[in-house]
Amino acid sequence: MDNIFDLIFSVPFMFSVLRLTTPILLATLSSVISERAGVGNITMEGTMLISAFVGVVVSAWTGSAWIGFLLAVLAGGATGYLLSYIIFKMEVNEILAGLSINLIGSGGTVFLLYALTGVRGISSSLSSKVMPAVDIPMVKDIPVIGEVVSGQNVVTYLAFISAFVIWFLLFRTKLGLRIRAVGENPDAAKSVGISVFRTKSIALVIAGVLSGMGGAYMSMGYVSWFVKNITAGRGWIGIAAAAMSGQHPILGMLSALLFGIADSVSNTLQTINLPSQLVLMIPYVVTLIAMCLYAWYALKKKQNEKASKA
Amino acid sequence: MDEILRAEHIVKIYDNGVMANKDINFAAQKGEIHAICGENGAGKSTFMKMLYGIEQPSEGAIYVKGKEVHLTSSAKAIECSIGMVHQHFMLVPSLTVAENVVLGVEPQKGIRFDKKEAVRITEEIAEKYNLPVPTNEKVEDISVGMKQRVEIIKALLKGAEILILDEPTTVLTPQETDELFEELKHLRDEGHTILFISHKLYEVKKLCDRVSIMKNGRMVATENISDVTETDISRLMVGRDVVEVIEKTKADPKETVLKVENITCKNSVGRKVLDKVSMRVRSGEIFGVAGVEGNGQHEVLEAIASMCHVESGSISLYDKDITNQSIRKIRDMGITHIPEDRMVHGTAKKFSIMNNILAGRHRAKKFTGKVLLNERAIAEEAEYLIKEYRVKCSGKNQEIGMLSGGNIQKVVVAREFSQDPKVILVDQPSRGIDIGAATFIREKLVQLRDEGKAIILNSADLNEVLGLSDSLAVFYNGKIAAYFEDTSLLTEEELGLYMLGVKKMDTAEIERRMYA
Amino acid sequence: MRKNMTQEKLNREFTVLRTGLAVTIGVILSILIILFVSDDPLLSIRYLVLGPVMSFNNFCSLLTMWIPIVITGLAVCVMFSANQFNLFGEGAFFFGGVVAAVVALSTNMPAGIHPTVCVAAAAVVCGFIGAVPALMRYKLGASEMVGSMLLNYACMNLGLFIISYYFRDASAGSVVSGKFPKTARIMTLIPGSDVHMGFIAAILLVILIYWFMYKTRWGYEIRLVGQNDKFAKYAGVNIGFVLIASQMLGGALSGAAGAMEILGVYRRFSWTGLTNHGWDGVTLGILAGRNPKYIPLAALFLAYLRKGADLMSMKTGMQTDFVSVIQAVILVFILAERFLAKYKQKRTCELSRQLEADRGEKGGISLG
Repeated sequence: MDNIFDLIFSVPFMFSVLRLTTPILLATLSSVISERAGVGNITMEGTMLISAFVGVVVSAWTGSAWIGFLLAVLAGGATGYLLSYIIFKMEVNEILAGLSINLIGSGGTVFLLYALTGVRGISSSLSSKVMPAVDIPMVKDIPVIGEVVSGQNVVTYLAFISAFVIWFLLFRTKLGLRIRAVGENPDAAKSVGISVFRTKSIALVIAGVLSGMGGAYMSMGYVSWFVKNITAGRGWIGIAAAAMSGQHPILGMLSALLFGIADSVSNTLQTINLPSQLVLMIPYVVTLIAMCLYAWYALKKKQNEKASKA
Repeated sequence: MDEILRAEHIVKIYDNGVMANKDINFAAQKGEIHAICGENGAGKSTFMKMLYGIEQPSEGAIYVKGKEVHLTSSAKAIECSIGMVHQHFMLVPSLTVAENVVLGVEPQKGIRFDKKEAVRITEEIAEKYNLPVPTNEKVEDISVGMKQRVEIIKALLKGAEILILDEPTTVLTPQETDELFEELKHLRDEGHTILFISHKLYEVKKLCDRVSIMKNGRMVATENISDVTETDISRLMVGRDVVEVIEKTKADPKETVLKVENITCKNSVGRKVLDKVSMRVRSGEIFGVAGVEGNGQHEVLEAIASMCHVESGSISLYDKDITNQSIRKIRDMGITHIPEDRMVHGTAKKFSIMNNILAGRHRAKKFTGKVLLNERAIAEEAEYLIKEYRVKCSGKNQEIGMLSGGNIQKVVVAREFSQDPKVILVDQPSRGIDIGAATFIREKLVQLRDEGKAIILNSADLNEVLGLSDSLAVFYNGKIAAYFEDTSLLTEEELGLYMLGVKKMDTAEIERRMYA
Repeated sequence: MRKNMTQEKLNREFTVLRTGLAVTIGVILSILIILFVSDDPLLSIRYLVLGPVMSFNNFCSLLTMWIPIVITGLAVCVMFSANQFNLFGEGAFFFGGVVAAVVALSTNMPAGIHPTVCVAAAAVVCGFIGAVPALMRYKLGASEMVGSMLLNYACMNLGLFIISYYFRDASAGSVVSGKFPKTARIMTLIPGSDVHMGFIAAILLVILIYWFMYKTRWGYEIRLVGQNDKFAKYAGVNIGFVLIASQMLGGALSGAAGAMEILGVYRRFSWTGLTNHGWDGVTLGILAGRNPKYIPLAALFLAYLRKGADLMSMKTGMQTDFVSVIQAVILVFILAERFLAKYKQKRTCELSRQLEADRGEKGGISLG
C-alpha cells in the first residue's frame, strides 16, 4: 500500500493530473457556456473526436502542429455552428441533434481517415505533429511546484487560461450578459431585439472551439495519433463536471480537476499490478458517484431553502 | 391629433390552421390611451404580437407614422418606436434591474460591459418619467409592481412612443394599479400612445380615451370612451348580455358525503395556502368555493384530490379517512376531478380522444382484463361519450390537441363525469371556452347534482359560481371567510366584499350556518 | 368536423413524406460519398445496393445483423416512450454478452435450457443496472442521459475485466474467453448460416412489446407518463414505478439482445469494446417513431445498409463507418420540424381559408 501512496503523492502524479484534466476541463467549459446559453449541448464527445481527427490529418499534411491545431479548433467551432443550425433552424430536439453529431463524430472520423489517407482505425502511419511543451521561466525553478506546473503541453495552459477567459466573458462583457439572458429567459432577450439564434449560436461556436481544443489536445498532445473513439467518454465526464459546478467556469475547473485526479489515479494504478480494466473504470464510477452526490446535495439545499422561506 | 399607428386588413393563420385574426382594421392616435377589449380567444394577443413583431401577419399591412413597416422581429418593432409590456414579464431574474433595462443596448467600456453607465442610464429615465426603481437589486428580489415599472422603463429607454400593455393589472394590487394608471396618464400627457389590453371594463372606463373591441378574431367596433357604457362594451364583446341565467331548481341536499376537518397545506415555497379549513359537502348539492385567485379555493380541491400534501387535519369520505391517500386510491373511491388547467393536468395533447378518456380508469375491470386492455369496451365508451357530450371531432382516434378548447374540456368533463363518482371536484370548468360548451357543461353539472352527486365548484367567473352553486364558501387568505347556505339570496356585490376581505364572518357563525 | 379530419390526414401525410424523403436523402448521400471516395464507384454502389440480396449467404448474414438491432430498437421504444433519454442500451448490450458468456462458461445444463438461462440472466442483470439512470433522474434530478453514458463505459470496462481475469483463454493470442460449451450456443435456424433462433425470438418480441406498449394498461401507463407526466400523476399513475420499470425493461431487452448475439453468432467472447448495437437501437427507435410495430422495417433498412457497406468494403476496400454519418443525416431530417414546414404551412393555410369560406359567418370557429 505504501507503494501506492508513494506513487500518488509524487511529482509525476501531480504532473499527470494537470495533463489528464486538460481535455476534461475543456469539455467542462464547453458545457458550461452551452448551459448558460440555455442549450443542453451533449456534443462534446463528437466534437472532440472531429477536432482530434482534423488536427492529426492537417498537421501531417502541412507538417505544422500549429496549423493542425488551428484547423482542429476551427472544425470544433464549425461543429458548434452546425449544431446550432440543426437545433434552431431545422428545429430538431437538442438532445437528438446532439446524438446525431456524436454519431457523425464517431463514424465520420474513422471513415474520413480511411477516405483521406487510406489507413484504418488508427493514424499511427501518419507523421502528424504534436503541440509543444512549454517551460515557464522562473516558475520552472521552484521546487515541486515548478516540476508540476512547468513543462506542460501548451494546450494545458490554454485550457486553464480558458477557464478565466470564459468567466470574464460570461460575467464581465456585453456578450456574456446576453448569453445569460438568452439562456435564462429567451423571450425576454428576444423582446428587446436580441437575436436568440445568433446569441445561442455564438455560445455554441465558442463551446465548439473549447471542445475542439480538447480534441486537438487528445491527438496532438496527450498522444500523437488519432484512434477510433480516442476521447473515451471524456466529453460526458465534462458534462457531469459542469453540472456539478452549477455551470460556473471556475468551479467547473475545480470539478474537472477532481476527475483529472481520478483519471490520474487510474493511470498510476495501472503501472502497479492491478487489473487495468478495473482501474479504467475508476473515472467513470467516480464521476457517476460524484454526480449523484452533487444532485443529492442540490436537492437538499433546495428543500432547505424552501423550509427557511416558510 | 395625428394618427401614429394604422393596421389594414390584417389576417393571421397559425401553422395549425387556426385563423386567429380576420381582416382587422385599426388605428391609434398620438397621445391617447386606447383600450383593446375582447374575451379570451378573441384574437387580441395575436394582434398585439403582430404589432410587436413576434408574429407576422399572413396578410395585410401595418403603418407607423404613415409609413408601411414590416415588423419581422421585435427588433424591427423597437426601431419603429413600438414597445410592449407583456403579461408574463420579459425580465431575466438573475440580472439586476439596471442590467435588465439596458439589455439589448448595453453600454460598453472597452470590451467590458459598463455597469456604472447602465445604472446611470436607468436612473436618468426613471427620473425623467418619475418611475423610481432600485437599480442594483436583482429582478428576482423585487415586487411585481416594480417589475412592471422596470418593463416600462425598458421600453422607454428604447425610444418607444407606442406602448402596448397586455393585461397589465391582473398581477397588481389595487394600490399598484392606481400608481400604474397615474404613470400611464403622465406618459400620455408627454405624447406617448398607449394600447391598453384588458377585459376589466371598469379599468378601461377609468383610464382610457378610446376603446376598440374584438370578437372572434374581428375588430367589431372603435368608440370614444365617453360615448359607451360598460354594458355596451360587454355586449359588443360577447354579442349578448354577459349576465346569463343558469336555470336550475332548488337543491335538495341529503347526507354528508365529504368532510374536511381543520386541514392545513403549504405550497412549494412553504407558504400556508390552507389554514385550518373545515367544511362538509352533501350529496345533491353544488358546493361553491369562491375567492380571489390564490386564496385557497383552488388548493382545497387539490388537497381533496390528493394532488398536494395535507400537513395537518383530515379529509373523510363517508366517514372513511382519505387524507393523503394515493391519487389512485382517491379515484378508486369515487372522487373525480376536473383540473384547473386542462392542458397541464387534464389531457395528453398527442394522445387520441379515446386514450385521453381512458386515463385514470385504465385499471377498471370494465376496461382491462388480466393482461390485455378491453379495446372494444374502451372504443364503445369513447364513442358513447363523444356523442353524449357532443364533442366536435372527426372520431375517437383524433389527437385531442387538435380540438378547440371547448371540445377538449368536454372530453375531460365526459371522462370525469361518467365514472359514476360520489364526489366531483370541478375547477374552472369554463375557463377560456366558448359559451356553447360552457352552457353544456353547466347543465350537466346541475343534472349530476340532481342525480345525487356531491359537487365542489371553483370558478373565477363570479357569475358562474354564483349561478351554479347551491351553497357557497368564500375563501380569503387560506381560510373560509364566509358561508352561505343559499346562494340565491346573495348578491355579487356582497360576495365581492367577502372575497376582498372587507367583510368576514367569525368561525362560530360559519359553523352555525354550515351545520345548522 | 371536416376541417379536423383533413388536417389530421395532412399531418400523417407529412410524417410519411418526411420519413421517406429523409431516407432517400440518406441513400443519395451514401451514393455521393462513394462516388467521391471509391476507386471503383460503380462496383461499390452495386455491392451497396444489391449486395445483400445477391446471394443466399449474404441475405442470411443480413438477417443475422437484423436480429440484435431489432431488439435494441424495441428497448429504445420502451425507454424513450417514458420520455427518458436513457442511452444505456449500448452498455447493456455489451454487458449482456458478458453475463451470458459467464453463465455459459461456468454452468452445465442441457442444450436448449442452457442458452435460455444465459439470456435470462443477462436480461435480469442488465435490467437492474438499467434502473440506475432512471433512479438518478427520479430521485435526484440528475441527468439520466449523462449517467447512462458513464454507465456504458463503466460496464464495458467491468465486462472486459471479468472476461480477461476470470475467463480468458490463455492459449489464444488475444483477450478472448474460452470456447462456449456446445449446449450453451443458440441453435442455428437456417443451416449453413449464422441465422440463429434469436430470429424467432426477435419476431416474438416485436409482437410482445407492441402488445405490451399498446394493448396493456402497463404500456398505456408508460406512454401516458412519457406524454405528460403531470396528467399521468393526476390519473393516479405511480410515476416513479413506471419510470423505473420501463427503464429496467429497456435494459433487460438490450441485455438479452447482447446475450443472444454472443451465443448465437460467436463461439467465444471476443468483443474488445462497445459494439454500436445500442446506438443503432436509438436510430431505429426514432426512425420508427417509438412504435415497436415499425421497428422490423426500420431495422431491415439499417441492416441492409450495413450489410451492403460491409460487402462493398470487402470487395472494394471502402470503409464502412460512413454508415453512421448516413444514420445521423437521416435522423436529423426525420426530426427536423422545419423540414418541409413551409410547404406544409402553405397547404394548411389554403385548407383553412377554404373551410372558412365554406363556413361563412355562421357558427364561427372556436379558437383553441
